Amino acid sequence: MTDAGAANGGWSAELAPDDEIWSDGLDDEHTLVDLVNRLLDKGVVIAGEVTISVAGIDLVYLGLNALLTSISTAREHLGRQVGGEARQG
Amino acid sequence: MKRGKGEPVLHLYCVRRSHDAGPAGDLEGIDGAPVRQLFAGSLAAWISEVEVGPPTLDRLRQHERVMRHALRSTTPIPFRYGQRLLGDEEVRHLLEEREADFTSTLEWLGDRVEMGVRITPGEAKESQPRHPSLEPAKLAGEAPGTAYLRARRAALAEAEVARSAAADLLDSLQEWLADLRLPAVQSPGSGPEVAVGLAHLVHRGEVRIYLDRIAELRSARPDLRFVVTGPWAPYSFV
Repeated sequence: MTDAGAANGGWSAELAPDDEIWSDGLDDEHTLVDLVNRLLDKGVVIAGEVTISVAGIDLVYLGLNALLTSISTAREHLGRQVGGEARQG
Repeated sequence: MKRGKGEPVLHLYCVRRSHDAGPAGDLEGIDGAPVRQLFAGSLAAWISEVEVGPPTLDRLRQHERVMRHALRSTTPIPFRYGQRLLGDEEVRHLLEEREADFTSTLEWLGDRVEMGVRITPGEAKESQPRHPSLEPAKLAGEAPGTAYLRARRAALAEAEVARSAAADLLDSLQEWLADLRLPAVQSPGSGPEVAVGLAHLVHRGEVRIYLDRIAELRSARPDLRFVVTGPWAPYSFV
């Protein structure tokens, strides 16, 4: 499978569309951290080229702070569970 | 044109080729809205109507479910979450304007998916407090300021050791996977722990090999914790 990059995406028998690897997993803590990092910080950005709902963008970033705060709290919690220390307040 | 809160706009998920399979008829996007395709030239964008609102975890999950639905059949170009357009015309305009760019990116991506791996030291040696103010030691006759500075220096040295340990981890991981020749992007560290993260672009047919290799490395390095996530749409490579 070294040339699996064919433009028409030939399926490998090793990773069919119904393979268990695609299972959701979106409740898993590690996956959620990666999810937030990717969705909010990666991916194609189109700002500046088209008209974007200004109100929408503002709200996204407002909401983002709240979300990231809760994620970082979750991380600290995770850190403690694995033997890390509580951070200083 | 002024848009008020609660007025629907179009939420963008991803772009694929117009001849790729479309979303299942009952596929629900953010807030349960039906996902549809909008075509322009050789491209198709996956969109749904959405009411402007903050990105809750639920909404991020709903966005990602649509992305995975697309990813299962063909690798899409994922948009960053939270970009909304005001109508079909704007989406069409976007596709037309960036057609060459999107087309060559899709070609380059081929069938590959993104995998993520994060490594942190396992059982940390917690012999010393990390924060100087926790330092109980006060040497006889030493001024509190001096003790603080001494502890602070120790903490900085410790952080430096941690940074260099992280760099070493990154090197060993890359070395371990070198023969797979995967495009890699370093992902942001996660929290206060020493952690290194890498995103790799992996052919579908090699995902199992990739997972096996990480599993081997995991057995070889019981002192480390490995977290693998994916397959993701290629968020880190577009």
